[in-house]
Amino acid sequence: MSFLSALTVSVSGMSAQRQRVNTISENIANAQTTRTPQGGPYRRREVILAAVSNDRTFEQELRAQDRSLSTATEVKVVGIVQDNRPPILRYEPGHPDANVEGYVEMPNVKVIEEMVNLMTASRSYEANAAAFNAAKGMAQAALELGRG
Amino acid sequence: MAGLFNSPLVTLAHKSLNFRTQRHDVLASNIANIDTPGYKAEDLVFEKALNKALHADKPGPLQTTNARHLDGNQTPSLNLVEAKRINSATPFVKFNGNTVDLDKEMAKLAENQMMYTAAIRMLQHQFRLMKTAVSEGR
Repeated sequence: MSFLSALTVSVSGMSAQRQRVNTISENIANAQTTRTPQGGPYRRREVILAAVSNDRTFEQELRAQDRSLSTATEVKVVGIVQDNRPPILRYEPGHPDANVEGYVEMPNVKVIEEMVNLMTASRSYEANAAAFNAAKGMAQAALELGRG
Repeated sequence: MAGLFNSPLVTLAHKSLNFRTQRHDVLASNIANIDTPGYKAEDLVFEKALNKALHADKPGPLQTTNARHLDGNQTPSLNLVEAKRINSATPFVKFNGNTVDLDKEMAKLAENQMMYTAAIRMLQHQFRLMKTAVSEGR
């Protein structure tokens, strides 16, 4: 059904943006982490998004072909990748993780960059929420049709 | 008179609601994929085609002297109108190849929703008229 597919598309956008916000928060929280289970400092992570057409049943596919109109396109998180930029070296000889020259390998997280990404992610989330509400409003208007 | 529910207005509203729903799908997809690299924003156009079909009952440019003559009117009837899916034009492309312009999409979304509500209102009005008629004005 068209209305439900509009809702799922908006929800897919909201969940993808939430995933982005989660990853960004993780980056900010670990901006000073010098120890990880894999060894070395924490490395910045990023969400990879991809567009996917809704899973269609045979009938839907047939109908889409018939009308030459494909249905809505959802967004999906296809993976979380590590940023391979080198760690930032900071001179801190008293730090237990400092190397012989006194430099500590700090995570390659730039807090300003993360804040900018956080803002775009939350704006995109709001946009998806607005699209969701619009679809809901339209469905409700249609349901009111039969009444007086 | 083609029947109570077959008036061109009802068909128009029905078509319009269908297209608006599909257009909402397309716009919602654009918004959901605002950060997807390489995604191309799309739109659904149908208003011109609907408008043309609404006036399709006007005779065509050719003179007819017999009922079996063709008048050259090529416009399809209202219930055969198809919507066209196009790539929406954007003056700039983001560095990741994405062409979604959030402001435009939100504006289109709002416009689409309002036009949908307008079509609903039109239908409601139409139905109220029918109700008045079938209840003999009571």
